[in-house]
Amino acid sequence: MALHAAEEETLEALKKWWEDNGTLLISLVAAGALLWGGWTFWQNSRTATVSAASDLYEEILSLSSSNPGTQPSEADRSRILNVAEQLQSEHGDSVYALYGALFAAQQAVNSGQLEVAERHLRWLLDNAEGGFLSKTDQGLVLTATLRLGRVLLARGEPDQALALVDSIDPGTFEAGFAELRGDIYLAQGRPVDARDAYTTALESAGGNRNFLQLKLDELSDAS
Amino acid sequence: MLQDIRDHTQGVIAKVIIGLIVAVFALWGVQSIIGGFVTAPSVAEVNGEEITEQQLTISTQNLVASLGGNTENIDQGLLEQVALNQLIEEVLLRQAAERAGLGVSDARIDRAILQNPSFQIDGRFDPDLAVRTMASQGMNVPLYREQLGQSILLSQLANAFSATGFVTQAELQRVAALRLQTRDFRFVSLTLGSRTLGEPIPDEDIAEYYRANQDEFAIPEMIDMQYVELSRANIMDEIEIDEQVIRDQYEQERSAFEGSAERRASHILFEVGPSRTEAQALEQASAARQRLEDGEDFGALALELSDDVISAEQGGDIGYSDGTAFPPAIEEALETMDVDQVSEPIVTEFGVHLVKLTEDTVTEFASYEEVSDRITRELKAAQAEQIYARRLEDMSNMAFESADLQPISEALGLTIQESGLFPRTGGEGLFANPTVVDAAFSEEVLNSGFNSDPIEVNDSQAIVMRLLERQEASVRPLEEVEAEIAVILRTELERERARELGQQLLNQLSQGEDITALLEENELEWVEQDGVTRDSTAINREITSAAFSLPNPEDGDPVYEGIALTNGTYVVLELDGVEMGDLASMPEQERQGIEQSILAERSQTLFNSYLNYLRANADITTNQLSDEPLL
Repeated sequence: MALHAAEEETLEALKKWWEDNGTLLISLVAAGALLWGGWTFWQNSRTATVSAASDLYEEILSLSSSNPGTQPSEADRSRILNVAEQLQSEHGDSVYALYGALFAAQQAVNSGQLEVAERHLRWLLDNAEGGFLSKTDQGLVLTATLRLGRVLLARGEPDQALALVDSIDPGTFEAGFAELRGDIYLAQGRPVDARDAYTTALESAGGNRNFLQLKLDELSDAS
Repeated sequence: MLQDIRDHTQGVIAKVIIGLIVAVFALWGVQSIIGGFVTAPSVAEVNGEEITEQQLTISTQNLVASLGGNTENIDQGLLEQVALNQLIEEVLLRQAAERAGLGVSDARIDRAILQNPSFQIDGRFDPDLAVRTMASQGMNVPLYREQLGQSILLSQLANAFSATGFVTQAELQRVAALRLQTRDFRFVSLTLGSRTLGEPIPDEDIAEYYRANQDEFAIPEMIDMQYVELSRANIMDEIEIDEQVIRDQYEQERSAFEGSAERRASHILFEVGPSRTEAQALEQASAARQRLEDGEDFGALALELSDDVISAEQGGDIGYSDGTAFPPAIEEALETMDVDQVSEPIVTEFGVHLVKLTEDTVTEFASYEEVSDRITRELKAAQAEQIYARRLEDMSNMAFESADLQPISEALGLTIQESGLFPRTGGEGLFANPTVVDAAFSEEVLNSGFNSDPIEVNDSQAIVMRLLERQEASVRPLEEVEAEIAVILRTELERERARELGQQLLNQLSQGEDITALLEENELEWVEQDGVTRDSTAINREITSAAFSLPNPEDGDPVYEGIALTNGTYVVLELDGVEMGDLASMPEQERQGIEQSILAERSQTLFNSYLNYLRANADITTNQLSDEPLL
């Protein structure tokens, strides 16, 4: 039958095609399966890592806010500092390690360990590039810079603090940086510059700024 | 179309098309195709993510709720704008959290659910309660977990910025120094009074002042209006209502009221049927009634005797009726019964009943005397409304046709009244109303002298007016204001004298001279103030504020300043010392309070900066909301 002959022909053609391309097809499918498996595995392990870092950060959050309005106890404070260290060593490429550093710096300042605070903030700035697939949060970098400036000023290093502040573009964080500048200038014995900086800060800050106003009033007749 | 496609499946292009359709369905489902056409209207887009009108509506409602619902006086457009802003910020923060690669573990979400007090009974987590509570918020468990996870993410991000601030000891010391600062000073008050007594104010000066300050003595353009007032209240006074009409209305209301009454009844039913004739039933009912009269309980008897088994279980209760629910014979009997009274046997289509009235909400309808005033008032008001509308139309026609108010006054019995002079800023009573004032100063009324159209001051008051007298803007004559000017100039002179004397004192002080003699000569003396705090209210705020704005005295040399207070008094101020506050002397509680306030202020500023940073780096478009422009 003609039809039968045609089918035979088709079968032949298929066999030939398979002989020519079979291996390639199999290796393609295998490669695809491998990729998919790898991706899923990587995703899962990534989720697990993020969850672990997230849980550590949550511990810091609950320790530091257990008693709103008052400082954490001595034990809680050292636990916060330890967890922050752990985040940095085990999850150094996670943004949680950066957030943890901010909390560590806060606790260090509040317990008078300015050099510890400085170390955490510098670690944050050195590692802010972020891990794979997460972008650097410039807002976080500016926040840490502002805090580092305050710590440097408190350590009696106004010149270093000023150099740090001068090295960045404050962008939308102008209010905070201008106030810090004012404090630095005052420490350097430049009341007129300080007054101008406070004025800038007051202009760019919305909301309640009683304490800033107080600092500015004090310099009203600076010349 | 499908048939068309199938007919030509031989074509390669058709195969490709079908392949594509199959692929789309397979990969994304039907939703992808339908969803492509039906999109919810969006009000804003943040980095490609849409905020729908529905989200905005919900968010606005939440905002209103958080404001305590008292938002009648707040512009709706403004509320929506605030709500939209919050939504945009929320989306920005969520996107930032996603970009940062934040995540929440299932265990953390579990813990949050277990610790939520609204899922707990007596302090213990209750799964059923949790599911019910979630459902009442329109959520199932997976959806709730997802939203909870998101809110945890947001707070992780937000806390990293707003909960990590600090205040260094040096800052605290400085703020304490400023806040707790006290100053020692003394001052001499040179009040206005009698230094220029007997000194004449020259006429030329008065004339000069009058010339230079014409504005102060200007009298604005004033007009006096004639008007007639149509008022519904006056019409009501005219109307007499026939007593019979009032009585009819009363009867009507009373019967309507009684029709709406509700009664509750119980019964015992003796069914009439093959096994019992009506006569037998009546006999049994009477016997039962006798037992009730002998003191037996109606409920117990119902249970024993009633053929209506269901009601018998409830003590015979057959519920409420508004006068139509029960058979007419029963309703009729109930109308004349008192509560707890039991009827004689009643025959209905169901059989023979003994009925007991258990509740009667019919209270006595108010007596005619009590309500006749109200009815009269209502009837009058209804008539007055018609008369008012008719007369308003008449008034409108006549105002247009006649040359003055006389015809209106005569036809409608309205007296012609007068407004008294008033300026463009408005007069008194009716003429304080801006609509009336605008009409009075309108072209036709003011310049052409026509009658105004009827002006409806409110829905029960309207006036027609015309110009009676017009006074052009003028300046008060000098003779009239001479005395006023003399007072002004005298005060000025006194101020000048006080300042001169003050300057003289300041001069002598700054040269280190003794001013005692000068003070005595002018009957003045120092007022000493030691340890005054910044917010002290013991002396004039202007003086305190000036004392705190002076530079610190150096080397024990006092700092001097002269200030003119708003009340005219000239003050010579000597700042002797500044005592800086000390953190150590501050009570612990106050120290913590100040630290918290500084922190709060600073965190707020920082977080705003962060939000603005997110905003500045985002692609945000807002679409116009329904009618009002949003931004």
